[in-house]
Amino acid sequence: MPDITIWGINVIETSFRWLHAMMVAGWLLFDFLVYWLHFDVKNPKVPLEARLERAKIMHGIDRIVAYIFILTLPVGIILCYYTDNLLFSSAWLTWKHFLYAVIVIDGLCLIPISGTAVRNLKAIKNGAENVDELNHQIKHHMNIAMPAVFVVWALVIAISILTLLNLKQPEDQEYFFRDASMVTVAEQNRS
Amino acid sequence: MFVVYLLWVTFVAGGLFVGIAAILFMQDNGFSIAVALNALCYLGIALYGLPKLYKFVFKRG
Repeated sequence: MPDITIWGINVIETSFRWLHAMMVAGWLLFDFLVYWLHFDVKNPKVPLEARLERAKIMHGIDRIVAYIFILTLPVGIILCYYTDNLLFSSAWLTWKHFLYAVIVIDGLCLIPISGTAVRNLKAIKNGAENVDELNHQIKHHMNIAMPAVFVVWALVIAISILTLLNLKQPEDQEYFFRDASMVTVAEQNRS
Repeated sequence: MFVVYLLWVTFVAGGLFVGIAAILFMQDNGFSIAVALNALCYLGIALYGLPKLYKFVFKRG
């Protein structure tokens, strides 16, 4: 693997680490924006133009979330190999990959109902007769998506905590947020 | 549409890669429940995505 070191910092490795961390932070932030916007989109009392505008913004942000969600896997795999950590070389990394797999399965359940709001609101604007039915479908789809969204948030936060607790400085391989001597004592107790 | 292609290509390729890596890891290091769960989930994702990807690539329109 190529190494570009500036002021003692491996630029490629550090960039990938930051990219990986920023992707997860962006994922949570943008997902929260979508959650915040959905209240007005599913509310039939809000004017149609405002709902449609918010639905389009929501759909656009959701696309960014989708890109982050998809690209987290290849970026994570590249980071594993770049930092000389095989995919299942440690217990925490193995469980992290498993939690990500659960997020993917959860996300795949959300795909069939994405885009309902924009589609139905455009139909209402174009003079569809079954307005109540279309509004009900928007609300229903958004409400059934909520548990899956909360599961994604919980798992992303759990993965982030798991990663932070096992984060090491590349130079001397010391934990950032754990006392190394305590870890050694715990390992000795186990053996 | 690009995002849909990217989604299925990444999850089919990534699922196969991680799933097969998990099986190979268990072959060398013995059975582990966490690695087995990884193999099951990632290969499941790849198998679920394969017909979807095929449909998008060959049966559009």
